[in-house]
Amino acid sequence: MRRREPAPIRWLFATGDPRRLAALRIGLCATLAVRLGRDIFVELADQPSELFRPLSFMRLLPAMPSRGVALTFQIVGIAAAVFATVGLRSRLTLPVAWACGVLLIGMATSLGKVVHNDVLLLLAMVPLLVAPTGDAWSLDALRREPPGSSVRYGWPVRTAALVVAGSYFFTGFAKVVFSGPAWFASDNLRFALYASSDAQSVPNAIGLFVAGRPWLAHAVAAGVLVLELAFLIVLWRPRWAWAFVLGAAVLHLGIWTTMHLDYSAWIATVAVVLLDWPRIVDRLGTGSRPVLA
Amino acid sequence: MGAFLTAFVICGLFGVEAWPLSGFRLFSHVRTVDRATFVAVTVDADGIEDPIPFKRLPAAYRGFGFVARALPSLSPADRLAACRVWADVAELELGRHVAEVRVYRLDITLLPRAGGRAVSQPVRTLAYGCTVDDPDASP
Repeated sequence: MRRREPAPIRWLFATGDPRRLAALRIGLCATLAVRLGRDIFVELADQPSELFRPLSFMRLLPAMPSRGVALTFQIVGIAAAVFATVGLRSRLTLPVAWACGVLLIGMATSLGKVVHNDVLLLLAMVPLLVAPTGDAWSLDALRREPPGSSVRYGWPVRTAALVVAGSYFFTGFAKVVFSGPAWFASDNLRFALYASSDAQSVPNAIGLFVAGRPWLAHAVAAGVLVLELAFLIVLWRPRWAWAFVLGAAVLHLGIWTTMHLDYSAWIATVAVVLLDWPRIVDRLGTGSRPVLA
Repeated sequence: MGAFLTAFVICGLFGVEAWPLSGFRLFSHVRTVDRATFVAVTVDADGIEDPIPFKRLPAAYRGFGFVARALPSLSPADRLAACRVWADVAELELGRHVAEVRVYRLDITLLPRAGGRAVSQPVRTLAYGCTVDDPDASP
């Protein structure tokens, strides 16, 4: 008798719609193209080596890459990301775009502190590096018969979803490990908002509104922790994806509004990976239905 | 891909930072009413201090706070080198005549507050300083 594989393995390797995988390619590569289009990388390239504080693989370098190297990687990375977005040689262009992104964004995390703003985007793209992302909704697939549902289109999407949900879970988990209940039960969030407001040239009215009301600050902190720890639920209840996408959007927009920290790439990544875009497109009546095996 | 997921989970569970893999320690430590920050000031020939606005400088110099916190763990040569870089950028980007750079630690109490700001004045402690021409630095 054939042994049945464990449920997590069966979940991970279930069949998937090639359009769902293509949606990840389109959304994540477009997001990466936007993120690589910032001028921060060329500015960082001018950094004197005395201020270079590399982390991870950046320790292999003696200093920030030169302006010429940074600009080259930026141009190549953006071009590759755009080509991958439209599905042109995506087996090549997607990994190239990702590699350029890792180096360039690695520069931003070499100032002395781990920078998380683009981590979720880069990690969610890892399963796509070896996946057939261009088999649907792509220039490469224009003259081909649309493929049917297959495991090869399922596991990259589910792996990316696992990474997204896991990232939020581990963010909440770290709060529990390092702070325990004090993270929401103490005045932690109030002080974080006060400190952030004091660092801004004009006091932040929204941050001060929350910080000035202890009950509200505690409620917001508890809500953040619950959202993060509960994120894994979306893997078992994919129909609840809308709620988690909305929750993440509110969380990161709140952080932007009060602390001016840019986590827009996290919002985009969550929405791209967790929402069923083929279903949305079908409902909007603009996409063709796949030929399912 | 199994190796990637394993590494992802291990980093998340044990708080390992192996960028882009991460322990996701974002705002994970409790903030208290007291906080410390650092500020660098240029000193001109008349002894007048002027803070360096790193946020207005190119991104390459915006890691000041992280370097300042690490100053005690740096070698004397590395401390001096970093300090001289800050002096140079203040001259080049801000057009200042710099005789000296001082790094102060500011200990701030966030409460009580008035007018959207903390009421109490920060306690300022000199953490490090360097002169532009003199090869020696203090403290």
